[in-house]
Amino acid sequence: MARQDTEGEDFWNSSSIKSFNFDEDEPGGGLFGVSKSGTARLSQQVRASLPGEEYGGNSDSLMGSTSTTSSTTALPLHTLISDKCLTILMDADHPDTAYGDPMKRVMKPDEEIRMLRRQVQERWDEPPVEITIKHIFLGRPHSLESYRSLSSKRALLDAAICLGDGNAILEVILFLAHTLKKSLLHQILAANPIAAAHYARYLATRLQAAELTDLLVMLGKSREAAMKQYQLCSATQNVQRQIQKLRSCISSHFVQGDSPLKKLAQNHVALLEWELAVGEIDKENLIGKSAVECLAHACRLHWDDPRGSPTNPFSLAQFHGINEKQIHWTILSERASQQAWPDIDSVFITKNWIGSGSKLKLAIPIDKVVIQLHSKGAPSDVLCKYLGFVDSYEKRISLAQKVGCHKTVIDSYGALRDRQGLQGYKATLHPGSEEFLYAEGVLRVSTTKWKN
Amino acid sequence: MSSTHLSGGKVNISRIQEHARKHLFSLLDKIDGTKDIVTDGALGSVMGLVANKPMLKEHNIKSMFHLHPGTLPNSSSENTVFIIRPQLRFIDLVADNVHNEVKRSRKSKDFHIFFVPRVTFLCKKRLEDRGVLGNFEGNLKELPWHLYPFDSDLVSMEIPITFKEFHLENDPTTLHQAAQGLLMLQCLYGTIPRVTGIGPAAQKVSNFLKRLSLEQSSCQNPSSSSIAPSQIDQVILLDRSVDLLTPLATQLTYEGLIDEIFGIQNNTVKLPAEHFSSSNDSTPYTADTKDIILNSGEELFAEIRDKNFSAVGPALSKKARQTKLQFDERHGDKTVQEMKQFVARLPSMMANKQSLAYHTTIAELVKKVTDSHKFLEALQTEQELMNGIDTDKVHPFIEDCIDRKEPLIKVLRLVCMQALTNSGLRSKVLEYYKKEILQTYGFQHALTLSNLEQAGLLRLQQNQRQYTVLRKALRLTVEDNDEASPTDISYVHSVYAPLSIRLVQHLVRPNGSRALQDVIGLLPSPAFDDIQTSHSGSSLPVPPSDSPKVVLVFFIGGCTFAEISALRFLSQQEVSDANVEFVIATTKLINGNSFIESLAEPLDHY
Repeated sequence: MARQDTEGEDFWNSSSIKSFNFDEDEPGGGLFGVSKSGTARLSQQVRASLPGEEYGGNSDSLMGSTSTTSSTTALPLHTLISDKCLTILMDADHPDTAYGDPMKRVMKPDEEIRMLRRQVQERWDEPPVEITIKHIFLGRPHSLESYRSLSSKRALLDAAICLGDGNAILEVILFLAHTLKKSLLHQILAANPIAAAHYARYLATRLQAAELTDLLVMLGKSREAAMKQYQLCSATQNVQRQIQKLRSCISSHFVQGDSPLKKLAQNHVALLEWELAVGEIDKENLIGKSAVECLAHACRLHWDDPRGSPTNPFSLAQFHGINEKQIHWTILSERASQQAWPDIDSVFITKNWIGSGSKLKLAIPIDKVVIQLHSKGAPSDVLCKYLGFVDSYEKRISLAQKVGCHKTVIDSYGALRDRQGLQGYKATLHPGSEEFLYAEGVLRVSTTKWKN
Repeated sequence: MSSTHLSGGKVNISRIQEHARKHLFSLLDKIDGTKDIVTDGALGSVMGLVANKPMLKEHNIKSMFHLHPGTLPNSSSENTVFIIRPQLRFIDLVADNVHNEVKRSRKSKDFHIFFVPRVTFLCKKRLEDRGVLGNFEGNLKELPWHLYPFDSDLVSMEIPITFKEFHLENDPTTLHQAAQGLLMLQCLYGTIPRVTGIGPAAQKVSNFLKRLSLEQSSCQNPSSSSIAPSQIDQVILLDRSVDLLTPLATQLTYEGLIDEIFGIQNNTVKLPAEHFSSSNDSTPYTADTKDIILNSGEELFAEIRDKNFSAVGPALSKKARQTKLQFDERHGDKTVQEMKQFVARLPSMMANKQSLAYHTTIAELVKKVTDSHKFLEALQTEQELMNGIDTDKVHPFIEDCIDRKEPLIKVLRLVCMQALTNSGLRSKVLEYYKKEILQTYGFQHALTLSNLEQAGLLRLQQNQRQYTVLRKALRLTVEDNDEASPTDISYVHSVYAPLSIRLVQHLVRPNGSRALQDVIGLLPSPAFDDIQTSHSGSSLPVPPSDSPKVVLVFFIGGCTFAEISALRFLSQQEVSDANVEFVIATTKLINGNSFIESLAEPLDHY
């Protein structure tokens, strides 16, 4: 380690992550409150700094084989300690090196026997769970293999949860998953919501859907299970497969309870099928569009389809229970974009039975309707017609001014018998223009009883 | 060598930077030969907060790349160092890169990975599964960076998922990292005597911290542990779940608005370059965006960033007049001596002029948005909701936004805000919103809605009217606060004073949590106020009471620029009863959009 003798040194010597320092020999000092002799720590460090030993051989890291992360404090060892001393230290006491490569050095037979005996012995002895968990957390070599009894496995998991490091928790859970019966594993997970959450997330990222659903159902989280299923279905790329998956998901997971979710999934399937079918007819990719976007599409291209047909906008809207306001807004925008003004009238304006006078049936405030029509380039006679539905003349005037509908402004002033208002407005108009002349005409009407 | 903008405060943040640098360089120096660095995108940009390019050059770094699928860029360097966070998707990219590189060149490079802050079991497993673990034999290292230095009073962990992981998935890993970050701060600045906090995540962090300090002290030589008084007197741990409303409110400070509109990443905002091309700039613009660095290193920005935007215009024009006056001085009669002084001041004057030009342009871009009908309408709705007006029925403006298919995120922000200000929605109202959103934006958003419900942002009405009580008891809405020379923190949102900061105002007082007794039951529990002792068991020395207290506010789950501004405002109050200076730590700098996005379920193929 490059020695730094600047102000940060305190930290280097004290950080729990770099818990080891050759310069400070504190007898009896252990990490995480656990006592451990100096030699053990030293040889641990030795192991960590020996090149070529890490990640050696054993490929089944899931089963808790030795795995190491080289510590950031690798020191040039030989500068501190002679090789001979090192060997003695390695032999003296060290649980972790037991799995090290014995071929690294030549041993005397009795030495080797001693070591092998210890190796066998330690394989069956379990180190305290706190130490092992700490090793996982610090990325030190460790083995979970020696934890064989159910109680020790439970203790191991408890220790990991207590430490709070997700990495350690997951490693222990996966160890349990591989060494315990499923029923036992589920029993343990049921008692440990944190562990269960980790395992669920692991299964989700690995897309192990069946296992995940089992787990969630077992935990009594059928809603989550259904939701997860739904999520996995939604993420499917191929539409046909997605529809299939959603269908089977509905029949297998959404049977009991939670009807909103079931309805949601059913509508989702129906919409996907619609998109697939209509997309084929119209040579357009509609997959992934929302119900309202599909409604807009239907308004654009299938306006005149017969009412019963599934492509007809009203049928579609009805099927999905789209609310009136959305329907009206979509029809208004889409038909206006097509400049199909009579279509808009036919939906929204109802004549009464005598044929005179008409009523507006629209779930959107009239001012928004007028502005939307204007923004789509509606001609002034269309605008005038809809401005006629604004109930007060004052509002009508200001709205008509906003959309430049002079005739309505002038008529409204006339209806209000507001001569000054009209004269003021006339002054803003281009002299000689059609609306200017129209205003003059209204002002000249002799029968009007002007109020000012 | 440290950046000047970090060392202005009572607590010298540049030490954190030096610290992070030391870690990086000591790892790099162990690798012989020339090196290329490949970082994952987000990490690449925070790297700049730790070390700049010339420094890296000194450590034999030839070039820096972002991690991409496919092949590594051509390079003659002997080593490739991947610096990544432990996420599986990055591992897959690294594996791709390595495979292709090995295939391509006969003379293979050495590969290294530094994991930030640590390597995980799953990552190692994935390296193995992808058959590249052997390529990194002996070269897997950890770079324990926990906090990144942002400004003289601000550090961030830059982890956007803390809130989601803990409150949705029950995963405390990043809280553990937060505790490690705190431990690092304590190592640099001394053990913090008082630990106060509210919320489950806050308690978790506090517990982890206790445990970590215990472990640390047990392996530490007692004589070496310093008993110098801590530079930080108190830490307040605030779980974001305690105040979900504040991040949703539109920020109206200058920096907050820049973040809301353009997004600030690692002190940098990217703006359309065409607004910044100037005649004396000889280099032609090739990029579409210009990066502008925003921190207290720039005098003008430090002055205006925390102001309400309505006060920024006047401040800028005042500055413009001053600058003009300074330049005009050159016309007056002058002795040679005076002329010399003038010339000496010239570089700083030019810099000021440049920054004035930048900020005038930025302010204009911001104003274009804040003057728009859309912005004002939404803001008005927000303020009505804050004031408890029309919160109990379907809001016509929100409905309109859905009909007009405004961005979903805007709709979700408003709906969540209504749910919170109404202390939960009636089930009919909530169901209506949900149906509308799903039909307009697509069924796949059901997952996001479900997440928001689980996280407590979208909720059903309960018996308690938390918001109404909190609003009264803590004065969360304040009318008639002068935005130009404010007297209360409510200026950061005009009208609304962030709940989080109101709580801090109480918690810094000696018996703060007692004063909050009436409302604490309405917040996610628990609330705690502990005294930490030094390792030797003796109580920590208390600094003289007349000097300002230094309080570290640690937001667990993210904080907004407006919240930071509010704390800075409190630091500056001379006549405040508390006499406090704040240092801010957060897991991530967030705004309403990024907060909601962090809870959304991404579905890539749509």
